[in-house]
Amino acid sequence: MLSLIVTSLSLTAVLIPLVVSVSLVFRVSGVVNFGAGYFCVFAGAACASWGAENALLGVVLTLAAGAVLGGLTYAAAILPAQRKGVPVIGLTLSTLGFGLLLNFVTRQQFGGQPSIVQPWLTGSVQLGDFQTARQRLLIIGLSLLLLIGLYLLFDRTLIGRALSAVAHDHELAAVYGVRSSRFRLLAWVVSGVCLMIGGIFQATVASVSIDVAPTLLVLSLVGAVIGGLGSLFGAVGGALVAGLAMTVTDQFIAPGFHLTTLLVILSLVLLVRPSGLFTFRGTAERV
Amino acid sequence: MNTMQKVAASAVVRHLAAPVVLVVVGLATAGNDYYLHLATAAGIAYILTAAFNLIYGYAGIFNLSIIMTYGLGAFTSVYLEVHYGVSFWLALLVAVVVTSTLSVLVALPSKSLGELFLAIQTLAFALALGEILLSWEEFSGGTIGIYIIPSPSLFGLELIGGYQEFYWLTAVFALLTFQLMRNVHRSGTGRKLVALREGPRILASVGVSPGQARLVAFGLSGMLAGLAGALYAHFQLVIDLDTFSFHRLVALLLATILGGAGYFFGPVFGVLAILVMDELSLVTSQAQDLIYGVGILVLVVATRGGIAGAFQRLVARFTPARQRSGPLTTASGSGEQRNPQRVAEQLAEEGPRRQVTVTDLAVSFGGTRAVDNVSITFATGEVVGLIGPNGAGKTTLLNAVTGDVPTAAGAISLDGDRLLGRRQQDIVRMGISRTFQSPKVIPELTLLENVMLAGDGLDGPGWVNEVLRTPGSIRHDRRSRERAMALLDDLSLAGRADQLVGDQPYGVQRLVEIARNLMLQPSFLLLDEPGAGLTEFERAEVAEVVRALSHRQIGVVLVDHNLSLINAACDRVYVLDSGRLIADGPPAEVFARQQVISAYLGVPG
Repeated sequence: MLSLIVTSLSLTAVLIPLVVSVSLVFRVSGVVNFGAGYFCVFAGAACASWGAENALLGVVLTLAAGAVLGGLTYAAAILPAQRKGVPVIGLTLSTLGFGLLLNFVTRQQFGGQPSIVQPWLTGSVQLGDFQTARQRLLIIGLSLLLLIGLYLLFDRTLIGRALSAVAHDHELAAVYGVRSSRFRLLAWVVSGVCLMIGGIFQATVASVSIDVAPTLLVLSLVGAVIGGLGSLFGAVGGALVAGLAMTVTDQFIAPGFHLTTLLVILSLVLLVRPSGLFTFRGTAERV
Repeated sequence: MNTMQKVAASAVVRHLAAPVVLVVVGLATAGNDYYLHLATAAGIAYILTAAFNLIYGYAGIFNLSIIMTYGLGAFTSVYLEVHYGVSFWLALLVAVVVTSTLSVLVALPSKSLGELFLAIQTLAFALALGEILLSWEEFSGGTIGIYIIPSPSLFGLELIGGYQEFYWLTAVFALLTFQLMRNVHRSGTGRKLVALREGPRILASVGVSPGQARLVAFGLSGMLAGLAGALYAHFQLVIDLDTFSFHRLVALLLATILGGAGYFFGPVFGVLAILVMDELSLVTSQAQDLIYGVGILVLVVATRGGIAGAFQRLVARFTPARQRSGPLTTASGSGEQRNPQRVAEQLAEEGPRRQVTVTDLAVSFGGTRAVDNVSITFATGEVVGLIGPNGAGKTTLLNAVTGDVPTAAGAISLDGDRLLGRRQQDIVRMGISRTFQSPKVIPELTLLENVMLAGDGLDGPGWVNEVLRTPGSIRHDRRSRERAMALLDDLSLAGRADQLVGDQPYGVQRLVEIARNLMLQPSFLLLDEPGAGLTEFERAEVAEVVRALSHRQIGVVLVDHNLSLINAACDRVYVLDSGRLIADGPPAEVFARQQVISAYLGVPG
């Protein structure tokens, strides 16, 4: 039981930053970032390479790069296309194009090998009869911290209010003097940082390689949709469900069928509750 | 050269161009293994790209699972040959059936999803299916793949992948696909798929089930993707799951949008462009991601309709001929004479008198009663006005009759047959057609095609006949073209029949919508604010058309705010206010009532 909880929480911990990122850009720009997987792969490779000497420095540099990349996606892939009136699917393709460019950079800069970021905490702890790596517990804690931070930012500050306003109706927001493109940029920047965090987490507990980019992309999208794309905390609930479902599949059914399980859950959710499992009046209105 | 010769010559050119190109390519590449390889690969890529163009370009369904459909075609054909010893031809047939079935199965749960959610679900489906196939090693060869793939043989001739013979095999299938796509493009199938892309409501309003249209799109594209997959396996002789990965999907998406999604020649251009890009990335040492990435970013922003779209605009610029000769304004002050009487004569002979009865109807939105216990009747041969201030429930009442909104209580019947609970397209088929407050027309089709769409639905030859272009479907197409043309002619729109509806002014779009509805030969025509946005002159004309219709035993229900239009056209009017019926009777009498005046003008009664 304990192993089930810890394992699914650690999967959830990796997913949380990813679904937050997906949900954030969906709220402000109405698109999903099909380059998300490539962002994660970049994060793993960059953090492993830049943090070889000093782990903290590697993380900080990678997060900074994520902020820049997120902003660049908005500036290069979304903004010009939106000005041209490109429909949603076109914008989604555009993010994929940016992702491919990033993947090219990853390959050129760091080689194509799978990358592993050395765990920040070594060793393992004994919880009853279940043993787990300290690093797993650490990322669960860090993910929780990230959530608290995002909650404070988006629910307790004026920035969050303005972002909500932009997401809800950018023209109305503009009437009230909110510079919507600035806040959209902010959302994309935060989303880029979140993708880096997810990629680094993944690289510390397992490894990240170019092959898994599509899988990471689908995990983040499906997690967010299950919980509810339109709300940040709905998406987090989705990550929890996805993490649990994947662990249950591994432990009780057969390993290696993560996506199949998620597809089944996704299809059911879309059939029964297309707005997501965790969208209620309160949550749906927050970014 | 006179026109007839020109037409004959262009038909010959059209039919021979593709085979000639394929033969020339085949002869030119003979003896050069590398070029032969490229040519064969391009042929297969064309089939796959055409499959995606059909479902995304035409029908507007961003179905990413197509990549695994393609893979499944490859693995299924090989599996059948290796494990059951069946011939390539039978294996191909079964594989194609399997992939179209699978594709239809994908269509079912994704029925009511928005495009983004559909993309997510189908992508998840593709990756999940990959996961399942990976663990079924007997079928897919697991991570290693399948190495021993038997070659097809035809009358003792071995068609080995990579050799000249296999190129000819691919060429034949590419040609068949090309022909199939041309049939789709020219027939009602193409029009119906485009209508599906523009909005399922348009399809339903001409009596076609949007759900069925979706399944046809999924089935056809699954079939083509499976065909491409089976050919690919026997061409490569080695396949593994990586071949059908996300990366291949990206190339497919790029080829489709680069070539021009929704254009007949899109896949041809797209495949050629990808071929060039791939060669470029080989030269520039594997920078494929860079080239694809830049390609996508530039394309999405810079182009509309990809290469084929640009090409078409270029052609349009240099052929100013007959398409442009139509009148430029709708108001026929220019001496054009519309002929509403003849419009009516186009329609079927007088039928028996039919009557729609609405009894105690109620429609609620949340706590609001938009229509509250309303009972009205209308019959063929009369023009009934439905008026009332904004929010009175006029459109909602109309929507209830045509099956667009669920009702809370009451009954609606046509000659005693229940209408409530029937689907929109079935109500249209029973003889009740309608227009919408803002005209629902398909901007990317021509005026003629928009009107012909109605002929494809109601008594059309059906999907199979259209796709195979049987003599019956060709005859039907010709008849429906003639009728549509005659209708447009009577509305003085014949001159612009070949122009795109999207380029037309509002008034023309309205008339096109009305013409499309008349093409259905309905017993009842419900017009939702046909006068909105029209000039005084055009409104008078609408009134005249409406009166002419009623003489031909068509029942017209007219929702409008314009009292002069109502006065001129209607035999009787019903007045709604806040969802309730407050008056009915002849227009002059009703407009004199104090209650009606105060409902409209807000004067306390």
